Amino acid sequence: MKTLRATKDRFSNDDTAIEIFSKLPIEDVPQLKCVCKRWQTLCSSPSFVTSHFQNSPGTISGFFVQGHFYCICCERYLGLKAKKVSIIASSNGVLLCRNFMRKSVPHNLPWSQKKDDPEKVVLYLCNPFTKEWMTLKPRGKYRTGCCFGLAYDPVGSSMISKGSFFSFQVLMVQRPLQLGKDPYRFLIYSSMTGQWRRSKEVCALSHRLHLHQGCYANGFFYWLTTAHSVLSFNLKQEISQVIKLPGHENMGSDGTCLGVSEGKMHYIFFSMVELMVWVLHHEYSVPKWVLKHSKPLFEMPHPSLNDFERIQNWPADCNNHPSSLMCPYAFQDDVLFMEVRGSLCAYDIKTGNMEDVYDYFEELVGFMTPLTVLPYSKSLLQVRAKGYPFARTYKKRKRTVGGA
Amino acid sequence: MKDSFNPSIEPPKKTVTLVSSDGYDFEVEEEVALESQVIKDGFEDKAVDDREYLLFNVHSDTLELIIKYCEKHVSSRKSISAAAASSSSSNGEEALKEWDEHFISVDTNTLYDILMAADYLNIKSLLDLAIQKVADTIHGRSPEQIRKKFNIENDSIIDPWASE
Repeated sequence: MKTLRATKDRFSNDDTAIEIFSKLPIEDVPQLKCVCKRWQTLCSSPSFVTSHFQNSPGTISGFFVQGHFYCICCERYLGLKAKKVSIIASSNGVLLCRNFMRKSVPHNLPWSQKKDDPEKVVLYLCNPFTKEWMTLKPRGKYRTGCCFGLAYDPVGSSMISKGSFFSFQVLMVQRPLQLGKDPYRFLIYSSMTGQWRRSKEVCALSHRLHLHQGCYANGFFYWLTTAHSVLSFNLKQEISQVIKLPGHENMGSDGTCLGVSEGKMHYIFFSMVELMVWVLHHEYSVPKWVLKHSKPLFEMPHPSLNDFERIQNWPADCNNHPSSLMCPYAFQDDVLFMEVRGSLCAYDIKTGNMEDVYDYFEELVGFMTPLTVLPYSKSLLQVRAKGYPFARTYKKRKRTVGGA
Repeated sequence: MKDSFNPSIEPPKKTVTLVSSDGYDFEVEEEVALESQVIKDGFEDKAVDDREYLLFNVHSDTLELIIKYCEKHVSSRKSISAAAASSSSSNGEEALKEWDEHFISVDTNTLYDILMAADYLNIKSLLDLAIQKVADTIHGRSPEQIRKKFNIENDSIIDPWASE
């Protein structure tokens, strides 16, 4: 009698079932969806996705490395069109990609001589774990040098209404036609409206933005400029601001990167002698930099840097100076992705541990466009209410081309 | 229940009666019953001689386990705070964790009954324990194994995540 009673109403309570599923690692979720229809519905519900997101510690499960012509993980991870897209931003396991520029210029040509005709911009939002895709097309044509940012944070906002999918926003920063004369402009896409709109805000900045060094933290977008500052954009109030960076003036983008940890923007800087990690605090809307971590370069715990002889020769031997051997690429959750002598390492600033994560990094370095490294953590965040099989549209198009 | 001679001057402990769905009475100490948030809410408003709770959703087999769990937690909480007061080191929490682990290592049916009862009575720590245990049971199993373990009918044949 007891078994009958027990089996009848098993997992009858949706809330309890969601709570149980939320305790499981994300890799188990595809299996759960196959058990029965009810479990599949439960695992696709916004309340489960949110609950799971809040339960998972948000560990970095990998990273994407991308050179100018080649994206290592793209083919394997993102599927068919992957060779034609570059990843430009990521937020909580969702990637923002854009179409590749049609005209590829010989890579030894300096930036200024590249042809810069306006082109259509096509953006793709993609969750590699759930294999969901969607396409975004801002109207009009745009020159190169646009920056993009993605804000997708299901926690701590009133974004989720019952039954509807999650909401995210994409920011596009339009580079002025003439630097110094025209201002930067902002276009915002909101998934709630499904529309692009131009923000009233403009920003008079007479320097370029570093295309691949942007991040989103707690309602603010940030981009590194070429003039020892960051451009910030408050998404809610639509106010932009140029914030000076701390420390010594550093005109190039070498040796610096931006990242997010604990909901705050971090600025990573390699000087000739040490690594510095600064945190940006907003005190009564006044930005304030605080030094969070610093470490002398010769103390970096990488085997290729432990050569005592080299340490002695540093002042004389410029090529072997540690600052020329190390370069930061990305920073997230207190883990710094940096290049050390041709391999990509992950350096945990809290524990001081350092490990090689990608040995063939050097083969990608050396093009004019800097490499991008994007830390990635798997999530179930929905890109569409229903799965949007990108592959199907691609196939259809291929057939028409073949027929013509 | 105990009728042995008790020399202590302590007043007799206040008790509460819990009645299981199949009609058995369980007399437990007040603080043990108060582990349940449901009983705690509005406890003071109830008359002292009316402290009887009919638990329609909890079978006596399960209720016995639940009471055992609550008693253990009340007593070990006391001993932990006593150890902290006398600043002597103790591994009370460690031992309690071990006890919990042992307590929840039951068959799937019992586990499910405990889970539903903990949810019904709103005993947070026990609910968390049971939920974690069910999650551990599911973890790493194939859909077929999960169905078998939890007696779920297979009504979906399509694998929604399979790549074409």
